[in-house]
Amino acid sequence: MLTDTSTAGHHLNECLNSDGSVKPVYRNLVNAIDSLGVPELQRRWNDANHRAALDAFTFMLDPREFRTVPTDWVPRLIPEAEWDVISRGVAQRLKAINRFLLDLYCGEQEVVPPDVMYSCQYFNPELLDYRPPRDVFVHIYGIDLVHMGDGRYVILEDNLRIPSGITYQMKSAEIGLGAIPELAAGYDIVPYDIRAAYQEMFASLCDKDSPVCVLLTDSKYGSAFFEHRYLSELFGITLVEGSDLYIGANGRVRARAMGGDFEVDLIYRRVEDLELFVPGLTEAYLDHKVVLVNAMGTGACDDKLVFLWVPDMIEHYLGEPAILDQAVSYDLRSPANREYVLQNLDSLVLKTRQGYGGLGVFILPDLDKGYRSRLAQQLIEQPQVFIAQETLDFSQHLVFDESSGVFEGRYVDLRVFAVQNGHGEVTVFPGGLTRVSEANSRVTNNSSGGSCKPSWVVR
Amino acid sequence: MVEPRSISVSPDRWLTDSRVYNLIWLGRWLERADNIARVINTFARIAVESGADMLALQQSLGNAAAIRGIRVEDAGQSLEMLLRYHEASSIYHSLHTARSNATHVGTVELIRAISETVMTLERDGAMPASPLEALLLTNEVLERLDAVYKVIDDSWFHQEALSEEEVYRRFVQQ
Repeated sequence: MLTDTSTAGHHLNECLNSDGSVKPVYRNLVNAIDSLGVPELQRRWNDANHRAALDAFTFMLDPREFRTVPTDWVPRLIPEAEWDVISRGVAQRLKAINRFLLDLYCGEQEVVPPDVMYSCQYFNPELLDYRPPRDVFVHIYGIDLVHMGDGRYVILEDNLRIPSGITYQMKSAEIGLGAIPELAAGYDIVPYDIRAAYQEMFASLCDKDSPVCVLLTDSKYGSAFFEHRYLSELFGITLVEGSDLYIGANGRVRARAMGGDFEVDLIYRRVEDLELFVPGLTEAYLDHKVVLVNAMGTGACDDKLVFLWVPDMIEHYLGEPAILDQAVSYDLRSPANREYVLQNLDSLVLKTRQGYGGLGVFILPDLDKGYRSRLAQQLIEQPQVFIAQETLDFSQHLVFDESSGVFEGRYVDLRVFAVQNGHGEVTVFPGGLTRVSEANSRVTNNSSGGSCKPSWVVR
Repeated sequence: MVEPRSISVSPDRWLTDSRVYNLIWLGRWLERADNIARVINTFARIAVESGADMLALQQSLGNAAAIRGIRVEDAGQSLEMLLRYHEASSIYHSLHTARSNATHVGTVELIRAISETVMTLERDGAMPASPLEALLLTNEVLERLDAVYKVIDDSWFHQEALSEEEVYRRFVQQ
């Protein structure tokens, strides 16, 4: 079935060789799909979509609209040997960034030029001289990678403030396997336990036994509310909104509840502007009255310009070269770089330093000339606002069009999640979230209309 | 070797202000959906027993629609407005909003039960073309609402409802 259909002629499809034959790791999967046949696959597809709707598995772009997460239920397969490199590379990067943040706020960092750090929107001067519990700033880390073929993955960006999407990794696998279990035949899928890793991480950050932990959500109208609800239920912790929390007379965070308010030891925060949600929370945090996951201040390394120095952080703090490559990027404060970028506008990606969710990403080859010219003018006027990256011709995967019964090629990236506990131990969850672009686009973010796909690490 | 510690896990979780708010509104929206379904069900039953046609049913529901604050330009639309299309007082809207409240306070089983009821009204051809079809549709909605109430009873009074934690545990065991 897969080999009958066009895959848009892309040279790098993860399922297929350039001659259209199926890659070895995908043979069992393709055989299973062929055995099912299109009508049965469509029926199972509908079952999976129905289940997603039943469970309110949503990512809402408009709070008034009930929108289930668009999902392609055929998994992406990552051989364990490839995963081993990814996993070590992610853990290495997380540790180096954490060491850098400690120096940035509690010591003196020598890696990133000061003017870059101080012009970073997410650098938080209130945190200077503040040491987070157990010296851990980065508890939860999300990293976006693309596959360049032959098992080589390249990093596009880091997500350190409130990385979102781990639930979509889990739920898409759960629903997909439930609806089409035949796809797993012949594979030994590497398991993982998010619940245990998170609970252990929460506990390791607090000084007392059985700390009270809550998950702070923006509200049920937020785009990622499904994830907030799911994780709070999975971990057995209370879901709270900003209006539930206040600072008590003793400076500790308290939650309003029937039967009596209670003190909170740790907040797994899924909001950015903490003071807007809970006035006084910053002071409580700086007084060590509450633990925040992720810590305040991590956003400094979310900055797309700071990204350029992460390989140097790895060398400086760990004394080893970076395991994973990252996209070649240009600091546009340099006149020479600016000149190069202006001469090669039709082959580069322009990103705003503080953009996220696909916003502020301009894939210049995909834009018309007029739009490119306007961006070039902005770049000349405000070079410090942007960085440029080489456009990568990364991998595509096959996605199933349930209405036509045809597989099509679409660009995919991979967001991998890791947690670091209070003992400095890092757990990288096998698989990650594969995000799929829309047709004729390379932008994969869900908030920009992309979909997702289960990802299995297979032995 | 560091001894592993645990966090304070509370399956019931605390009844916070925002949770109470959503519980109250969950109850109000479910009650509204139930109320409208019973009104339509009663009118449809009378219409079926008297042999009245669809137009008579819709016109008779016009009063019910007006009581619910729905302005219906054409009396013939009143049934569809009460079932699906009115953005504040239709069964569909009430259930849709109840589900939103349930995502804040409920278990996955409660969300599923409400979603099943919502889908009853989303099916192709769900809008009835005769009093008998209206009767059958509202019978189905009321049956599904009974299932929702059972899940609520199980969740709050017997703690037997399926949680995401249990779903995940079963998935991992696979």
